[in-house]
Amino acid sequence: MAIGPALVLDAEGVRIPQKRVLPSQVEAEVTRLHTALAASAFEATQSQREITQRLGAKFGAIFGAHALIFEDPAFLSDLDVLVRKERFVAEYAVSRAVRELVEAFEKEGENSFLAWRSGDLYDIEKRILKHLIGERRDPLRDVHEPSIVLARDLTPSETASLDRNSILAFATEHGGRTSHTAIMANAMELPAVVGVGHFLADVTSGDIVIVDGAEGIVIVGPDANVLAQYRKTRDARLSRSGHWVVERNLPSVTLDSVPITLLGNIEFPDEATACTARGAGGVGLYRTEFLYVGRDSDPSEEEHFRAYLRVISEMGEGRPIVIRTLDFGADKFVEAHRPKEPEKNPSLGVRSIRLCLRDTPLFCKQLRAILRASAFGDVRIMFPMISTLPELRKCLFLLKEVMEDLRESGIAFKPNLPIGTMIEVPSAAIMAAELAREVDFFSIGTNDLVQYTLAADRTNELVADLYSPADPAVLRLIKSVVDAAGKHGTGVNVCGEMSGDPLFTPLLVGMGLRQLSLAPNNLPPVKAVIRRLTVADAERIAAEAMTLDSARDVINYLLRERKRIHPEAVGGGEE
Amino acid sequence: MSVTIAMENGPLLGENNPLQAMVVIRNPRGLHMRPAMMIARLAAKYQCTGTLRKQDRKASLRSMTQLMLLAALQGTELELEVTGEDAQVALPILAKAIAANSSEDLELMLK
Repeated sequence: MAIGPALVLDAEGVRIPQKRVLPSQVEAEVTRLHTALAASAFEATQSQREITQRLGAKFGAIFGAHALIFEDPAFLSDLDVLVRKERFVAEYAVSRAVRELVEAFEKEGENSFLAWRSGDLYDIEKRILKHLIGERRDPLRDVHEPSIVLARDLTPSETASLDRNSILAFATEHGGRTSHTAIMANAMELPAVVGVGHFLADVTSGDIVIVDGAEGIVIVGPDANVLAQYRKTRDARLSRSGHWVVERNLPSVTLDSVPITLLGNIEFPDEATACTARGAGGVGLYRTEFLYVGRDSDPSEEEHFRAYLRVISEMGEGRPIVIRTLDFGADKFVEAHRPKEPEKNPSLGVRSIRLCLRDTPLFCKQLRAILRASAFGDVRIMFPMISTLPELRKCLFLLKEVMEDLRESGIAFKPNLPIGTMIEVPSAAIMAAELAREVDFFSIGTNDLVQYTLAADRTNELVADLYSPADPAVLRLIKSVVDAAGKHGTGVNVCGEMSGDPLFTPLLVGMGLRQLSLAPNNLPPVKAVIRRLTVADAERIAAEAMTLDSARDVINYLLRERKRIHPEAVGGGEE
Repeated sequence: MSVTIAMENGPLLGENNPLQAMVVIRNPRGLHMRPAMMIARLAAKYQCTGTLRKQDRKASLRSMTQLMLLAALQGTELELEVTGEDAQVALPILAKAIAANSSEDLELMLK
């Protein structure tokens, strides 16, 4: 939701007169048209690349489709007839050809599985006309104070180019909920109401407007009571998740310019969008359990493979995806793998990697799919719940065997894909120096590490108070793992809930972590802390925290520090 | 994948006489923007020209807009027809692409 002064865009579109050229000028007109088409195609391809980087491949594809229209044989032959036979000027030919296409699509009416709307076609028209007529003054570029854009319609590319620092929200008369304009706004997390109907006549630039995207409401010139009420709601929402709206596109670096890579934890392929939308540098933990749950048979290699590819295509190039192999207990598993007798102590029993190593066909099927996916993107593999060195070596041996099989069958994979192990059992944390020689990276899973270190189940109320990631024993284990990894040049990150709690961010950075993997929702608040921190500051905080002798003291100390670093933040820790 | 390829005119044709196949749309979202875009790109890689027909409506395989205007929902039967030098090679590939289960599958095929 947003409240601010209206910026009403000129409701009049460019009027294109129906003019003809002399027969002798037709060739020149055709050349002019094709120059504009080529320039438009080039520009749309650039938009595709830029939006793919910013919001993900799915959104970039919208502009990829636009680019293709400039070369569409049916569209080109329509234009050709209009210019060569009818001798219309290029501008008129374009607007007429586009209008005919719009009408053809509109005839399909509610057959709206075509995620293609007149908005896209007008986008295409505007692009070509811009190159034919020359750039008009773009009112959206000159916005200096935060405003709410009100327009007859916005094309998908106009929406994508809205500057999040000055545009608070927008509302349009035309367009639909499923239009690409609405889809873009959603991906940009820009409050928007699309297709309000006729309302611009009643607004002047400067009027105060409220746009509540969630409710689909636009209020023009609210009275004092309404305004006060909406301000209260807005501030309440902002205090929870607000600051990141401003900071979402800023890099994750400390005040002294040390980059801290933030990766997303995901469970379902769809969540990759939530990561890219919040500027995650990749997926640091892709849990694959969902593939196994709620079914009577094991997932096939193809099912694994397809799920992985979806995440790869969503994340786009240059962003790593760490796939964690199956990690849950036999008790939650499909019938066939359930132990004959219930285990007395499942969390200390056959679960996770232990289950996989007892059922190598099941395990190898997943390894094969991960390796196959590695041919398509920066895929990395990670083994969970390793507790001893021989266990890790068994995994590496099996992985090598699967690679050999793939090689013999001529199936593509990346032979040098990075291999990592989770550090979530205290024995693994203690043996980190030895484990570091075998793998490329560690990921510290604090949830299990805390549970196993303190021997406390946090779902058991009677002992839940023992469970705390701030416990000095846990902190020491984390510190020793980070140090061991550093000595061997092994990468290291934290992927438990601890890394998603901004309260712990200074502590983790101070302990030497330069990479964190967290739930997409937590990316913004954690980044906000990083951007208000220097490494020296963080190191001092970590050193001080390490001298304290109880979880409670550590939490209280971190809360005091946070008040200093980021006074407007709330929540987190044990509050 | 069930693509029935009916080479009614014998195996050596295609250069001058069209090759045909019936293809069923399997994508749950129909032949929407993304698959149409990918099919148009794929078709442009071949020498041969092709059309896709739904009853009385016909689309050039290389025209994304015409493909979309077929408004082919999941389950729609379409008649694929290709003519030209490499028609024999192109037909099964195009048929498979049109019958892809999802844009993701299609993307893989094109890689």
